Amino acid sequence: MALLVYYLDDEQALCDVFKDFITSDDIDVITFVDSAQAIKQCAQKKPDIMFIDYRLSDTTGNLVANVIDDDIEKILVSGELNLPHFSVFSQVISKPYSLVAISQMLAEKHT
Amino acid sequence: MPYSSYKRFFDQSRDLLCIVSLDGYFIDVNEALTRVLGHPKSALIGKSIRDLIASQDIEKTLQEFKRVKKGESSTHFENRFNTSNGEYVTLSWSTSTDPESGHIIASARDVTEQSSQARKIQQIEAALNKTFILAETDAKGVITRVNQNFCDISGYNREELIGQTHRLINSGIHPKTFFSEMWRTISQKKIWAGDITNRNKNGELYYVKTTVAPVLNYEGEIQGFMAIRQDISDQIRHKITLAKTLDILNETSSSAKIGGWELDVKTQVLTWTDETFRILEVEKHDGYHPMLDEGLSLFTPEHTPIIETAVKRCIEQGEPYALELMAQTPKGNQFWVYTNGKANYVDGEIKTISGTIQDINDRKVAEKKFNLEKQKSIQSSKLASLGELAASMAHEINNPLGIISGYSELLLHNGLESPESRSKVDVILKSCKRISHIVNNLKRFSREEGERKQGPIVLSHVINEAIMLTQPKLKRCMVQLTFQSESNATILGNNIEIEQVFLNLINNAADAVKDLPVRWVNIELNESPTQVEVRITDSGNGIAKDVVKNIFSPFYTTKKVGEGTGLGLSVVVDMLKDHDAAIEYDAQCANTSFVLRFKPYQGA
Repeated sequence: MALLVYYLDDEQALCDVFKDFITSDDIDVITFVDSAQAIKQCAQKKPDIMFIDYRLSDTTGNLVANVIDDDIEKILVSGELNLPHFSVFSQVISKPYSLVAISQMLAEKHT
Repeated sequence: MPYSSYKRFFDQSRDLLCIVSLDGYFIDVNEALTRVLGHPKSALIGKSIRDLIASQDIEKTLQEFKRVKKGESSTHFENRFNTSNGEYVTLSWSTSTDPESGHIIASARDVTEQSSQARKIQQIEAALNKTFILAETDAKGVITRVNQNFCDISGYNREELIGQTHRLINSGIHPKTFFSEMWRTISQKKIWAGDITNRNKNGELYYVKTTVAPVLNYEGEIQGFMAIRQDISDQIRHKITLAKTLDILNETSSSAKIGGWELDVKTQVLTWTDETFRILEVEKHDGYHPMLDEGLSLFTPEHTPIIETAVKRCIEQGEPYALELMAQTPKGNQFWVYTNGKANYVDGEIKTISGTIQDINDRKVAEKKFNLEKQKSIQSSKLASLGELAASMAHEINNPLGIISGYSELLLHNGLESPESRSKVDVILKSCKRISHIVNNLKRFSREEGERKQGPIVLSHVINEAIMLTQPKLKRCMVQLTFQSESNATILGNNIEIEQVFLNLINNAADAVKDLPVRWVNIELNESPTQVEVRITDSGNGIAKDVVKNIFSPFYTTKKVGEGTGLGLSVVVDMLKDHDAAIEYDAQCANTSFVLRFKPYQGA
């Protein structure tokens, strides 16, 4: 069964390149530029893992993570330099990130 | 004895003799009297004596006549007679009445000279009495006579003073030897003079200039002493006040470290106050007055021409001056002083110039330190602002950077066939990483003000980061920088400050060589168990000797105006000091080389 990955970022191009790169037979990727839509989708169908950008157009990633089910593993993605620690995230990935590295990490999780 | 004998005695007597009727007419006069009065005998006989007596003496002469008429004898009665040449003679009379004839028989002596002397003495005594404090004692020093001035100044009346010795007014201030010396002198029949402090009846002190003279009898033995004193209390009190004022002034000058001076323009002789001697560390001898040249030599060679010009202009044109200069004392000490001077005119001509000198070293050092700290603070806040700017910009940079790097990865992932294309995409990815690294480096400058964290620092890492930040400038100046080190030498310190040290040194090196035909900077890092040494050498030909001594001083720069504040190296020195490290210029090196020495970090 394929790993279901959600990616929330207000930058459409980043969503597109993430989806293009990561999607494979083993990984399904759904991307969101709108946080409300992402939250709604999480309630309908829980992903295995969710990448959330910190600086969103109408809110911040930590606030989104707080209203999403605790069972979902959340990873913070950020271009910020100084961010406080948020316990709701399992890890923080700095932009510009390596898609190869993310892909490898997800592959490991699938196995 | 026959009448003729008496008559001869009368006529030839040297005493002045005459017979006068009770109503005051000459009956007979002898030759001696006619000589003194200058009138012939014939003119005198039958003449009223009233016509010859000085008008002021007529009344008292008439009174004396009345006494004689009553049968009383008169002796030592003096009056003045008018002589033929219009002058007065003073005659001292002894008279009696002849019971047989009822005439007055009178003999007189010419006491004109004695009388004049007596009057003079009287006048002198009156003047002395009025002006001086007089006392007479017997040979044992017991007071026998005092004047009113003595009573007034001592507060004792005559009865209280007479019969006492001068111990009554002894102040107790003088040592016993003072009075024993006085007694020794006057006992040798010599005059003693000196200033004495006495105490009056109320216990207050008064001061007298005193002369004590022995009074000798006919045998030349001391029969008593006469003391003549002059009240000098006001003078002494004024002196005491003046001395106190001077003491206060000296103390104030000393506290404020302000000295005074005056130059005699004609003789070039300087007069200094004690504090000036102290400030300039010049030994003061009695009566020593330095010459102008000596005074001017007490400044550093750089500042001597400044003070020379100022003094010259003041002497020649009366132009005042106020300068802050570096003094150099005979002991070799150097420190900052403030000195001013102004011309003093007499009859329109500059006779002297005078002014003050003040030790302002503490203030100047504090000022320099303050300026340095201010500059450091400005530099830190500039870096902090840069960090804040980087932080706020990071998101804006990193997002598009993510897109670029993401699509580059995607291109590689989807399989670019041409190796050339793959290589180009690799360059894009590497450039993204470089941009990201620079942004992350700037992030470190964004820190809370006052925060100064220390920790282990791998020096080669810090140097590499500084090189990366200076790379654009090095490129612009076409300077080749080399640094290769495998060393993991670690020191304890503040990452930002150490990086700033290397930033300043690399920037300085780039500025120094940018106009040279050969432009390079080389950094070497060597470590030993006790020391970590970093040598930064550039292709310059070294620094001139006269410049080297100043390069670490604040605000000293050889750069053009607008190119440098002159704080770079002084900030480096200061920051290294904070890290127990040091920098020195290597004068032996053929190129321009600085050596930094750190203590290695020994672990927690």
